[in-house]
Amino acid sequence: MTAVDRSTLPAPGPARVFRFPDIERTRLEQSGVDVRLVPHDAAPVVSITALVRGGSAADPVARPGLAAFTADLLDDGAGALDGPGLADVLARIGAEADIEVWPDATAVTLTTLARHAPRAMALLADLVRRPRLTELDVDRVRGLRLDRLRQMRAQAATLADRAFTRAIYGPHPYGHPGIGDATSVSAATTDDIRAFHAAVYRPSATTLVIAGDLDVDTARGWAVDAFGDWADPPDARETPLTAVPAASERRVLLVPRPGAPQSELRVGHVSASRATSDYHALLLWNAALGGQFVSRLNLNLRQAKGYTYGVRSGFDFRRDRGPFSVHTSVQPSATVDALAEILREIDEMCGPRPMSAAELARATAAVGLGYPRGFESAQQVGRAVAQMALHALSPDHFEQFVPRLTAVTLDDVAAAAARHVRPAELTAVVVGDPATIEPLLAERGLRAVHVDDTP
Amino acid sequence: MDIPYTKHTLANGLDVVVHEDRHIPMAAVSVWYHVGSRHEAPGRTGFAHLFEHLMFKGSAHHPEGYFEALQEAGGVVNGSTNTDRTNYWEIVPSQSLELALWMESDRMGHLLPALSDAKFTTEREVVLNERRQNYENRPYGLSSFAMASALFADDHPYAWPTIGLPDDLLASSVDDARAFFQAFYHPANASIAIAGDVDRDDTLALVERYFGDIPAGPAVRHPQIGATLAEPVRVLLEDRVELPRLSMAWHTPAMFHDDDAAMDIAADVLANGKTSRLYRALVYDARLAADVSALQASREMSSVFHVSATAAPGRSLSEMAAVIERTIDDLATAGPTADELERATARAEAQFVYRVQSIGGFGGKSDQLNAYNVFTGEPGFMYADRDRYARATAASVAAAVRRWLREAPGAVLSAVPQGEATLALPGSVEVHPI
Repeated sequence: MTAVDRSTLPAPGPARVFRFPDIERTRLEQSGVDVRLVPHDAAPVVSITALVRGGSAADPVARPGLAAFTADLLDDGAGALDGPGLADVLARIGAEADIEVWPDATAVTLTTLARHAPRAMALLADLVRRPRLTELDVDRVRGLRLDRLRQMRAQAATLADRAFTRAIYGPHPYGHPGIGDATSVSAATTDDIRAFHAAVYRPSATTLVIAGDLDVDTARGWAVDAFGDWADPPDARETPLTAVPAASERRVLLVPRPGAPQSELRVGHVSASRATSDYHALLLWNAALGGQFVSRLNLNLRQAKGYTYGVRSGFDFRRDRGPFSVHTSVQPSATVDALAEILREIDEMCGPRPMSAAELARATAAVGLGYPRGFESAQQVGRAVAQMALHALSPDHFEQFVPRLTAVTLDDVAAAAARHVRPAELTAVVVGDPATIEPLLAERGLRAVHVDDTP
Repeated sequence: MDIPYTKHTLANGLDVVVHEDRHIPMAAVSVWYHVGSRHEAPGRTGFAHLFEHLMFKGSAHHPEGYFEALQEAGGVVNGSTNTDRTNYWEIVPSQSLELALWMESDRMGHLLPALSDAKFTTEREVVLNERRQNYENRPYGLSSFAMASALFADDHPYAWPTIGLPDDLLASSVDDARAFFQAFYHPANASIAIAGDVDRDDTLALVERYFGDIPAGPAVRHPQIGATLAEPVRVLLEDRVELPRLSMAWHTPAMFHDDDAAMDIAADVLANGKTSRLYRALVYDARLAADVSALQASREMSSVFHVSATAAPGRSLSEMAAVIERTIDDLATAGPTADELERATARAEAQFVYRVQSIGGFGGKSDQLNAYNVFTGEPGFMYADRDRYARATAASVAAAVRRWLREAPGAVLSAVPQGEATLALPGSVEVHPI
């Protein structure tokens, strides 16, 4: 046996080829539901998602939180079953129900053992098409949501997210958190919820993704049986995108949390939509700034200074322009130093010290070589295909991801950052102890505006 | 689902487990060291976890940190520490398996030359930040500390939190880290599992090559101390919370005991979803609670069964406690119904399938093979584990609930908003966990 050479790290062998899952698309004849069938036999599991293009951004102006309230009620009784009855059937087939409300869409997913997939499909159609939405359930769920809103007052990270979102979006549909606020949740009526469901949950706004251990023709039959006879309401229309508010000056907002043992920080502004042609360039730029462990922000704030357990940055790519943000939690005495370092790192990345060739190469390798990791389970594959549908990405999106990433140049990255990151317009939100933080701000000639957005 | 594997033990005592799965072109490497916070001593707590952090700071032949090289290879890397073990893992494109093995072996065999006082001090700050972020600044974040101190004597190895006490962390030094490494981080106290797009024989040969020359190290003594409560305990914690929460806990048998599975089923019957008895009674029908949960927290020396419920505004912890006690009485007397047992076992069976959908990371196949190997000596114990659930009956669940939750005393924690100690159950003793 030869001794191990520890003078250098072993070089990688030849890359293995990965074949992305085949996606068969079909549109149900009568109802028009967009169906995507994705055979993936890694485990005897099937994951079915109904993606409805209507999320918290579709909340009526006077009813923030209505989309999430409605979604919360779907499994509280649907079709022939009440809430406990549904829970009983789902448990018997070992199914996991996952209902998510994003700004742009609501995703209802049932994951089950493959042999129970037909039953799961029928149940999913009940949840999406035939929720009971009774007065009694609305009132009960209202109580639970009000309890959650109240508990959020003590959650520093949630307070930071709320205040940041409100500050950068104002009255734009992305400006309120999905759960809404106590006033709106208290005021929402059963009629509001029924009207929202009728208008938003409709075949022309729905994509059905069936991924897992399945036969394509059989699975198509399940979809036809469950969603074939669904019809749009007469006045159906897509929610138009609203104009994003004008940018602000650089500012610091403080949500007071007297005596807080740690400070929550958010820094960012409204940035790019998923449709931007700069998508791949921004992913790479962000990887270098704070998108992964080894990044400028984390190496500085965690590794060099020990201010935090971790810091990350990211673009949340949505149908309309989503936020670019940095988020972290830091020791109180380092709050303002950490904030200053975050601003400095963004300034430098956009100015005197742009992304280097070495950083670009490392980011491209990290993001590109790791890409197949996201295609392991039926849930992961289903989720990726649902995202593809939500953003109307081309059918060869998965195959083209790495080639497009690899084609990004330093000029592309610099131009993308110049278009979508505006250091002079950054909003910083701090949730922490004013007695500790305000003197530290004053030392640097800064002042924070107090904000209070009680959930 | 079958998870075929090969197990081999190197001359230095390192267990090697390999499982081939070619679905994605990735290889998962999992390394478990059989050391956790229970191997610490009072006054020296938090060390196993702090040490885990140091394992990412570089080793003799690669002193500049472990994230960069693996990240650039398209890999992800992480680790975690609990009371019983510390684990480390990478998921890398399979062409970089050798890189992951090089790095894992370098830190197993050659960590100390790269460990400096500066690295130690910075990482200790990171851990103190982790503690403040995840426990001190989070509602109910200190509750688990308060409950542990109620359940265990101060010198019991499960009495202190894995994250450690701040004073203990501040008192520790880089010399402690060296001593800790020498005592616990060696092949005979470790197990490596590799799953994914790999060739079994090539992988065994690579592990032999990279790890085979690391000395076995001294034998490790694993504490084995049982846990009982002599009498019921009631404690009170004032915390930065909006709604009071009641947490009840009882000592139960260690992981993989038959009663451990029975109590897991009991947790499902009591509080998993809208069909569960406590959800029905406390949340769905009566609106006494904002939420309720139950959990059999399985551990190596002994386990703990938890029931926890947050009061709805205006409702009292005493009301909830009465309902919980009555519901447990019923389960102890008659056991689960046929429907309840069927649901619980169907869910358990499905979970065993869902859990083997990934090759690695926290809870993937390589992690599970290692868990079974470290705790039972059998990587394939998964099937025996699953059989425990299939074997459970209404009578066995009732008997377990009776024995562990009715015939033995438990601990109750009232976590209440600051200044509202009167909301706690009567007779509760105030505690101040740090």
